[in-house]
Amino acid sequence: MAESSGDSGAAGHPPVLRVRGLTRSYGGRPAVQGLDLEVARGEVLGLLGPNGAGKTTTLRSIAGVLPLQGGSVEVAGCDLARSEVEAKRSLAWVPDDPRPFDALTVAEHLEFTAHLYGVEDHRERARVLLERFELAERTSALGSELSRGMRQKLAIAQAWLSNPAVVLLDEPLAGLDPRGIRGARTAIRELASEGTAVVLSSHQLDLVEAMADRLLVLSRGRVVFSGTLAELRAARAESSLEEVFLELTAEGDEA
Amino acid sequence: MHPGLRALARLQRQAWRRRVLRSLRSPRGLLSALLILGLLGLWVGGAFLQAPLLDGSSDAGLRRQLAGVMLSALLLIAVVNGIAHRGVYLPPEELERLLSAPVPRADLVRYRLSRMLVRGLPFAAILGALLARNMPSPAHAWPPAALAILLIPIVAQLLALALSVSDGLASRLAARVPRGLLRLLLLPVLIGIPLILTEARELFPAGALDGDRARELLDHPLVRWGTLPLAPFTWAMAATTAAAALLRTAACVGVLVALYQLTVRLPIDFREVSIETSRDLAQRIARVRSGSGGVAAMGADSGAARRRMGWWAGRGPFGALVWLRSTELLRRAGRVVYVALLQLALAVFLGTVLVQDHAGGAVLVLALSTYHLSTTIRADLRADLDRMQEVKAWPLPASQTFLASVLPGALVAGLLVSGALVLRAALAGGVRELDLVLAAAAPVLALVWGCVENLSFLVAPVRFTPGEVGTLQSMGRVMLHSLANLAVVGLVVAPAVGVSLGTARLLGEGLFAQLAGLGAACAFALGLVGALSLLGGRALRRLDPSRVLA
Repeated sequence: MAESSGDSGAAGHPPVLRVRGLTRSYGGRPAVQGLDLEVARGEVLGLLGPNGAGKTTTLRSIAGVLPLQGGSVEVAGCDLARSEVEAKRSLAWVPDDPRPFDALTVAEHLEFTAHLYGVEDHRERARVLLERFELAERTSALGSELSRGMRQKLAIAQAWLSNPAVVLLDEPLAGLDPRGIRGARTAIRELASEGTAVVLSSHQLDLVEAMADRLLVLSRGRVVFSGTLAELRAARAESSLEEVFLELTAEGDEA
Repeated sequence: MHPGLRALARLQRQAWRRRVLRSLRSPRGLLSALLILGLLGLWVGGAFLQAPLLDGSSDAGLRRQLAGVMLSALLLIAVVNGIAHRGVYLPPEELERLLSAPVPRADLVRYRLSRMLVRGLPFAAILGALLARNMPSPAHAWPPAALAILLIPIVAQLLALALSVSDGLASRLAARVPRGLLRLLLLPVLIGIPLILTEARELFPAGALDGDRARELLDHPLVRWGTLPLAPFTWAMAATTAAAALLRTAACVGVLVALYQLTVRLPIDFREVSIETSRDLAQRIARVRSGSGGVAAMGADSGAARRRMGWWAGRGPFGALVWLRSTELLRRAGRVVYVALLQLALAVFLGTVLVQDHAGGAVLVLALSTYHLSTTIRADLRADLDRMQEVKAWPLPASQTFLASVLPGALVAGLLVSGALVLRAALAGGVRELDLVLAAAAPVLALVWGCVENLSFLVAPVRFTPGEVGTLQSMGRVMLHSLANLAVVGLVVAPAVGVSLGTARLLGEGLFAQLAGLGAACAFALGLVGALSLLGGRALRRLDPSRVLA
């Protein structure tokens, strides 16, 4: 079994995101236990696991949303605990259910994000992103007027705008229509090709299979597999990711 | 009513009881519930202990008029609600299921009405008893008074349905016209507040309602005609014998049943507007649940996007956040600006009429206005409970996030309070040095107040659950928060006042000494704001969104 306590990163590239011994518990119940991971520039890491495996907690901890209880997080050379603001400036976080501001228009969300992250000459980049995510005709719509899918697209566009070193996406395609899914997938690949490290969690195994360079499978807060899809298949007799996933996380499912 | 709907109503009542009992099992839940019940008991008990508005010498006609005026005020609320909520409101979890269920539409109205009437019974019983105290025979007056209160949900639903005519065309027109009319009517009132206050001061020079003048007002023909639709109820409430009370109460029941039947039998297809109304209300409830009140609980419509805010605090991360909060205030405040101005007018009225002492009146206006406006004008971290993941990931120090969120609302509230203080001083005989000093200190006080409220919210966020399980507990916690906030603000303000008085005394008397005292107090208070921001930042970092997002 290719079980490991963590992730060794992509060979040949220096990691831009480095997590060591990440630990988090809620009221004594461990949610994440000693998780290690590294992601290099231009790499897409897929975070897999059943419900309650600790995927969202891991992403929130890396994003600085949850205070670190144990372990360390380093983003683009900045330690999250010591240089929180600098680390967050290199990072973009898209939660699974983004909540735009009701009183701001779509265009203003991008304007606000640009100033928040100190993005200069953001107008052209914002225009391109609005086109890419099919929001160009909705620039004057208020946050309260957007559908679930539109909110998701806007959040992804906001994340892209600051040109971050690391993007964290929690269920990025939830709520998107087929065209939106295709657009987001293309955008994620392009983002990675521009040198951004992407960590995405999803239940959609086909998406992860198609997009991720490496996989990290969690179960009950522990890493039960870390490696490429080819390594996973080589270590297992099962041919499909779904079968491997079900076997690896069987213990978590029963809980 | 359809058996399925009856079963649903019964099961929901059971579920509600079960969940309330479960929430009472934890010590914290029990304590909060006991606290709110105790406070409610004190409030209701206090109301019963107060002397009735009319003494024993008043005649029956006057008593009926008073009851009519009170009931009319309550019905006015029903009318406003009826216009705001068209069709039949069904919560999101019921909407699609019930509209697609094989039940007659009239049964949906019955279902909704019966739930509202059952929920309204305790309220009707308490309020009815309070109203009945002013009648010749309170025991006889209580049942018809309670029945009159039950008119409110029926009239509101009747109006809401009537406004659904023509696929909501009537409702759309009605929703626009009254709001526009309301603004037109309110505008001169608000502009003429100084005149109204001056007039009010002459009407009530002693600082209390004059009995003879009140009788004159109640006996005015306009009041008589205005309360005529409620005559069956006020007539029943005025009964002095058991037989008369029984007969007249039976007539009231007849009126109520007739209105109920009319409401459920209106041949109106309310489905489309119900979906719209249910969505709007669900959004409003969600905003209130996320810790918002006042401005933050208001939605912004597409027309609001035309109102733009400048980047007045710079274009860095801090300035961006200040711009965001200012824009939220600008685009949402339209609907509550009148409430804020009325709150100020009330504070000025009380500070002018009730308190004879000039300084005492000014302090009363400062305290009352700051307290009310801190709730009304809020677009800060208290509105971000459901958005904490995004807020916490922003790339600026948490203390700056805290301060930038509090600053715009506090400044607006503070400046409004300053204006109210100057207005009150002008009405009370002229602006003195103390008024100017307090007016200058008002924004700082509002900032301190906003910091304390946000800090206590971040330390223990309260998710208000109107009409759901946990309402009592969350109300209890809200009250606890308010008391704690008042105590902390007092602790913060007291030394600032001490510094001010000490500085002024050292420098002797006169304007310079007062200004120096003010400067010292403001510097001290701003230092405290800095400290509160650091603490607020710390609380924001510690806040775990996964605990409050559920």
